[in-house]
Amino acid sequence: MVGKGRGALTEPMFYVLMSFLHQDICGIEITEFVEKKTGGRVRLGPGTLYTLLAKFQDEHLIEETQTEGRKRTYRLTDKGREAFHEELMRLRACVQDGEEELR
Amino acid sequence: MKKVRKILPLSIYDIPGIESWLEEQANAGLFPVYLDTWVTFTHDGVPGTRFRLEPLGKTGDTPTEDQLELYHHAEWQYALTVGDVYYLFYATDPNAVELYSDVNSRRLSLERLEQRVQRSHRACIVIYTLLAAAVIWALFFFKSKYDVQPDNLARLPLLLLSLFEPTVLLFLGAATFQWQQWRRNLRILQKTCQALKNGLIPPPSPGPSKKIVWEKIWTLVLIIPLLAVIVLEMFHFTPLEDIPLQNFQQPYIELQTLEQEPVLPWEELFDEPPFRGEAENVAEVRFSLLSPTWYSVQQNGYSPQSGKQPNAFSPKPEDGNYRYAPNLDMTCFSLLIPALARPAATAQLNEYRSVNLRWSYQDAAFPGLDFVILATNSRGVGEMAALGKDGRVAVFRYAGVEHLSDHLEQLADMVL
Repeated sequence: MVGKGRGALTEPMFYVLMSFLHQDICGIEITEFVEKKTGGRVRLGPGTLYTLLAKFQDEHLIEETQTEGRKRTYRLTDKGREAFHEELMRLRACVQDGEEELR
Repeated sequence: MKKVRKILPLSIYDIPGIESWLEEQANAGLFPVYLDTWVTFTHDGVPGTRFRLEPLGKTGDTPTEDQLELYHHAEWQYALTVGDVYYLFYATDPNAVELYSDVNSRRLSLERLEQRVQRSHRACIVIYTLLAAAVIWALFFFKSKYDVQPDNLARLPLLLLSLFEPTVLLFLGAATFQWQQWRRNLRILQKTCQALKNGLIPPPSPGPSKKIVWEKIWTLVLIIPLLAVIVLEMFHFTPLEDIPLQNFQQPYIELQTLEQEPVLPWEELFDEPPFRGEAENVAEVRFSLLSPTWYSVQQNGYSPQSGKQPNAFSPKPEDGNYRYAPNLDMTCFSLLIPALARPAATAQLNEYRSVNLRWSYQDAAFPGLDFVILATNSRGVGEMAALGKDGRVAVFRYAGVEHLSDHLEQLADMVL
């Protein structure tokens, strides 16, 4: 997403993509992952999560792997992994810039 | 279970407005089970319930299973679908997380709705523009290859009268109110989406509005009789058309009074319905605010004397080959604006004109009348006359052996 004219990821976008890094995962598990990872700082609303999952699917950043009753599981695509890394590098650069200025 | 119905006093795209209005209703013990122009409630409302509108997904009029699961897990329940616009979710748990954690995801969810509304907006504009263009073309630019004397502007006065007919006025009134609502809805949605695009909180709701309620009431008041008229016409229940002349109360010139020889209606002569099955001696009443009296009468008569060919009829029998069969059509107006009298008469003459004949029009004088126009054609097939006095106009089309100019005194009775 970054570097392709689509702007930076928002915090919820960043954490949702992060949740797929090590496993295929469903919506409810994403919510729990993000809450746990951020110590409750970021609480994903179901509307936010559902919208982001639809957007990421449209942009081929994630893909559905299986549907079990009401539960749908998704995984990160190579494009999604690349988007996450690009954002991570951007954030690192931001932090580095900030720290340099603070010194 | 007893239900309560209320008109939605807000724009359908005033999302925060509708949400907080529903929350007020819930505090009063009401729970929505239907939401559109009006809202139906049951008495199952729980005070403190939160309502949230979620734009419809790609999957149609019900949320997907995984969406329901996801929302349910966050303590949000699906209540109903609002037209083809939203799903309505509600939460009774005050700790339930808000549906949207940031303005950006809210923007993304509304983007789809905005695009859909704009697509439909553009489609409406294209359709109405094409319709308007087709109507304008048909009215002003269409020329029949059979019409030897076309005059597309001649019908304008009759169009003006038609514009003031009740059904047209009802339609225009309802369309105006709908257009106003539609424009306001679109503006609210665009403002909301624009604020979200700029990373801002959407503008606050203007709140319930009596104006919106009255607009909706007026739209219904106008649409209900309009639909009734359309349905009646669909089932051919048109009490103002094809009125048998024996039941018709308005004055008209009887065909027989113009004729020297007796002529009879088909039914009377042959003791059976006319051969095309359509009543031949009938009247039609119309109404326009510009012409409270407006009716047409058509009459066909048949001589009892048969021609040599038993089933051949003509307004001008030749050599006794045909049965003499004259006809007389007339239209009367009582116009509120006298200045429209002559234009309306000319327009009606143009309507009555047989298009494959070349007509010549001549003014004549008759005591007490403002105008008399006589129209004849080169082949002598029928003739026409229009008479006017103040706002009263009578237009005649006749085919037979008589000449209307010889009966002006009798015809003038219709307007004097």
